[in-house]
Amino acid sequence: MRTIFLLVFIFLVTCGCVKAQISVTGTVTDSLGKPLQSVSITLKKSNGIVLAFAITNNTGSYRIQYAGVFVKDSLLVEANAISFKKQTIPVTSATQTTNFKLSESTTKLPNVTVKAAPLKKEGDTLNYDVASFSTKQDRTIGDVIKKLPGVEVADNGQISYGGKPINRFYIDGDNLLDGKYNIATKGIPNDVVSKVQVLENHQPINVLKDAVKSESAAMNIVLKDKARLRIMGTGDAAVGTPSVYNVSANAMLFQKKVKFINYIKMNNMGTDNSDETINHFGGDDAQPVNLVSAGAGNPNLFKKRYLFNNVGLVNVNDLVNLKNDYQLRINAFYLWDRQFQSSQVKSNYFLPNDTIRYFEKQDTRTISNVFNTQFTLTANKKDYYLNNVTILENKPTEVFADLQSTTSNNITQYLNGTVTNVSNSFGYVKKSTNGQILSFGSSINIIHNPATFTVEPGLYPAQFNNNIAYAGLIQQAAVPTFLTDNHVSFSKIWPTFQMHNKIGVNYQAQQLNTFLESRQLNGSKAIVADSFINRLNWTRTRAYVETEFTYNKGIVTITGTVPFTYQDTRYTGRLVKNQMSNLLITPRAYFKFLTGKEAWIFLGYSYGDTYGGISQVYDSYVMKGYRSFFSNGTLLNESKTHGISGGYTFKNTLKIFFLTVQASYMKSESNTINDTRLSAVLQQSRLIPFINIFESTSASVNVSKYIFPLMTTITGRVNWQSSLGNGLQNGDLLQTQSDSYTYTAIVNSKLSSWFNMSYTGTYTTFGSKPIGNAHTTRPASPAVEKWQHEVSANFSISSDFYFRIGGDNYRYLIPGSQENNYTFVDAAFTYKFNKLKTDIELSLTNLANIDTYGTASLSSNSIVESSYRIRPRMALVKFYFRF
Amino acid sequence: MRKIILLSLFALSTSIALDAQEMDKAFASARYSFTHIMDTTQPDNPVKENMILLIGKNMSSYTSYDAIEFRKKRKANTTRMNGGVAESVSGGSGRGDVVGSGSAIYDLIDASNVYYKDQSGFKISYTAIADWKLFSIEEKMPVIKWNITQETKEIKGMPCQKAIGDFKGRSYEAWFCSQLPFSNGPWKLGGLPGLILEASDTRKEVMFQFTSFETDDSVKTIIQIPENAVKTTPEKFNEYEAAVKKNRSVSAMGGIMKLEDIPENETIRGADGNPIKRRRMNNPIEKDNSKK
Repeated sequence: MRTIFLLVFIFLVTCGCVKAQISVTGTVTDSLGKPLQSVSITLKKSNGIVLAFAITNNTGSYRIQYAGVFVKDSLLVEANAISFKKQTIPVTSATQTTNFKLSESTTKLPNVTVKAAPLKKEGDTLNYDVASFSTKQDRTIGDVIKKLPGVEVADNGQISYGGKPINRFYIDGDNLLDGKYNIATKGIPNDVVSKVQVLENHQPINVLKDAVKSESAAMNIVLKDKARLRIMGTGDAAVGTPSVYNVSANAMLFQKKVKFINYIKMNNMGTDNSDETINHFGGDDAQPVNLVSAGAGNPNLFKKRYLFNNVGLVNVNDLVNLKNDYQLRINAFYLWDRQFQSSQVKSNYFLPNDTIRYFEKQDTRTISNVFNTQFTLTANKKDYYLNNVTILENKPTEVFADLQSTTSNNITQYLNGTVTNVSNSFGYVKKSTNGQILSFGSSINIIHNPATFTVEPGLYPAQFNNNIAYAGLIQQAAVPTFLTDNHVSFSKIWPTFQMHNKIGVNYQAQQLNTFLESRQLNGSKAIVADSFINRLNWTRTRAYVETEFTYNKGIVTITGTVPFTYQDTRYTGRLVKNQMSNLLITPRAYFKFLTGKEAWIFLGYSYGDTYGGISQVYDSYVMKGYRSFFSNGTLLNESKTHGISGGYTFKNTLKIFFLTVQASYMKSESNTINDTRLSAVLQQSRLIPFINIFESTSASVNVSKYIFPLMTTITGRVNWQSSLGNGLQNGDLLQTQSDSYTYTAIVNSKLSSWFNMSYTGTYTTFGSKPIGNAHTTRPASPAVEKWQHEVSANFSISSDFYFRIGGDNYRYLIPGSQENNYTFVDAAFTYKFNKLKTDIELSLTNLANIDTYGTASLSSNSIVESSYRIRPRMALVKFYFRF
Repeated sequence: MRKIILLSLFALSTSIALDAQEMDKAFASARYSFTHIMDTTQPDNPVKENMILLIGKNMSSYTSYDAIEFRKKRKANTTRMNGGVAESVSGGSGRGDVVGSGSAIYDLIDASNVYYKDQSGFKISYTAIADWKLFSIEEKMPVIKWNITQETKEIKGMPCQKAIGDFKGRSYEAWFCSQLPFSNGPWKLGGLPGLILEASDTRKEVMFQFTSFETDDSVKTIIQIPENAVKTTPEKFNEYEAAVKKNRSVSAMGGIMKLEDIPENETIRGADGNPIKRRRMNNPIEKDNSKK
């Protein structure tokens, strides 16, 4: 019974419905009739949904069968194969033969590209995806590095990671520029870089890789393949009002064997090309200070706002990887720089019995030329390291300053000096077969810096020229210097314990020769007086033995260093002859503890015992300005400094979160104090014996976070510093405590494809109060407040047309002084000719045409008000090109 | 003794693949992220790897993209003479444990674990190493009976349609894109009228997820079964591999240690120094063939 029922049911179903079985067969051939294999044939509904399909076999034939379709549906058969034109034929009958003859064509396939994670961590390497942090308006990789979370870039271009400056900057793994990496950050276009890597705990010397742990990070720029193929050229040319120009041409090559960045740049629009000659890895060698200088200070504005210049720079950086792992590098530049400045300074010093006021109006012209050549030969092998650096530098500088002051209405200061510096440093590190490391280092440095400083007319004839009118004063000064340091070291490496022993000799020989001449009205010259002649011979020999222990196991690293230095200092002047020997023991210790995968705490202690140099012991006066005369007495300053610092670093690379908290305390005790004597016309200064204690405490918090949905990096910083120090002015001892707080917020956002913005805001308060001393009744001065905002908004109007508006605002609130508020607004339109690889930009700078800038600084006993002429409104048409 | 005979027989029966036609140039590449719960006791700890499918006119290859990147870095590290940059690499691909060293071994490893599909020959070859020899294990192109549904969705902006089919003991749900007219897909999957962009078995133990499709110059590499690979069949290879494993003395160097071969009581540490949670293979992608 049941089966009969079932049969009836099947009968009813098959007859009652308007369903049919569809069968399409046929062959697929190319235009010449050759059968095509592996072609997809689909039976489709008109809306594109595939119902059934077949793939052609090796004779090009196919067969599609499909059941259960309403006949009413309009169906299509489609043949689709790569490099052939797609063909669609309607289905007209239930069994149909359709032969396709496909014509060849190039099919454009859609690309679906991978969006790389903005930040990826692999071991000790952080990989920042450049595309994720780039906006269309960015031109160079430096524009992008600034925006990377966890990375800090200072105004001078120095890059820091985790609060510490980087120790190497590589381009595709090669150290082309050494510390002059501003050349790369300002020169390499961001669109040829695929990622920026931060290499944590980077030890640049291969031999020391597992032996000496580094706490510093390095940065590596990984280029895209296309940038490694051929010479890449970039350049720009711009003209504008008021008579400004900017031109540059840059040729770069980044191949495995040869890398170079060679360029020329010139402008008079306020761009300081000398930024690109800064060496961020410059040593802290005891370079002699220039005894005399001329010119006024700079306003605390962005340089582009106030710098009047005419500058040119030729920069040559070439690297060749030679055979046998040797690398030869030449870094040379020639900079010719003219800078102009106009300023007015009003200074008020409040002394217990007197108030002294100075007023100065100054026009300064500075002409400097720098020739610098550096040759470097490096071998960074697995078993040894060799490095030799030779630097030759010649730097003639001239400064002309025209002054109007309370002393005289028309003073001319003229400084002419040339610094010549020749140095060579050699380093060699060798690993022996049993894992011990031997190293040797030797450096030598010769510096000459003769300078002539002239002040006209003859001021203070009573003091300088027996009360006879005269033409002017001429200060001659030179500190020829010879420095050498030679050391050998021996390291023994165990898996968790390392010991480094170093022994060396450091020798410096210097002279300090100065004299002041007066030029008489008849042109003759005479030495002013004996008390203006310095003839100082100085030698300092240091022999040192240093032992460093490092213990490293799992999460703990402990380093202790105990250097013993025997120091012999001798100096002979016209009147003094002094010799002193000291044994200095200056231990340091460092402790680091990992609290998590990406978090650690550290604690450091250091003790320093330093003695002053030759520039602190000359006992005759040197004229440093028309109203400043300095001498130091014969006493050698000694400072003993204890420093403690600690901090906590936490990162979560996956969530792109960085946190650094640091605090430090420093106390130093010196045996001298600078005794400053002010009078209405003159300022004199010398060192006198005094137990001089300076204390400083500081703390900072730095947070950086990338917010994924908003494609935004937010950075926040708080710094606090408090210090306690002494000053001696006209016999009045001032003990001052000052506190400063700085709050910074930085936002970089790529909110949408047509809009991105960046903002940097800083709020600073600075207050100081006199303490301790009873005989002064000066009140604590209320805090100075300062706000600084910098904002830039970028709009993409179309894919090749952009608009940028931005500016900076500075606001000061100085108690007792008027509020200063300055706003600078800039705007720019950019049009990209994508085919020609050319951009044209029309930019307007300082739209409000603010031409003077005033500021004031306040200390517990002085107010200094300054005002500067700054760059007026500027309109510029600029072409950017690639070749 | 029996094993030695077996091995020699095996050696005799194999021939070196030197077919000049088995070569093609890729014009497109698709990348997938591959997830496999190989240890069902640890469903939260699957194997994850980025894979790349290189597509040529007649041939395609499918291999680990992570391994390619790893190789690039290794090469950069060993060939870069100027040194300096430490590109420390955590071997996420699970193929880092090599006994011995030297570029010959690296070359061998680099050539292994690649699936070659030959569309005209209707065959699929897989390269593997046993006893420090490279084998090309050839089988017929699987024919999966796909059942096309009318369900559609967009994957990374590409319109896709769902198909269901059984293969090697698992029931797969595959999303193909007829705008990309390649009857291809990740691993051994394929046979649909468009590239498979996403596939997973119904228990979500094996998943292939599409990440990108590119046709630029960077993908234009040669697809070719390595000439030094010895052609063989899956059955013969398995026999040989088992023999090598059982009788390590037969093999001069002991073959490649796989993570699974390391005794249970030994702790393995990852790049970060923490012990790796070890997985035991109890859930192969290809389940028992007879169940099909």
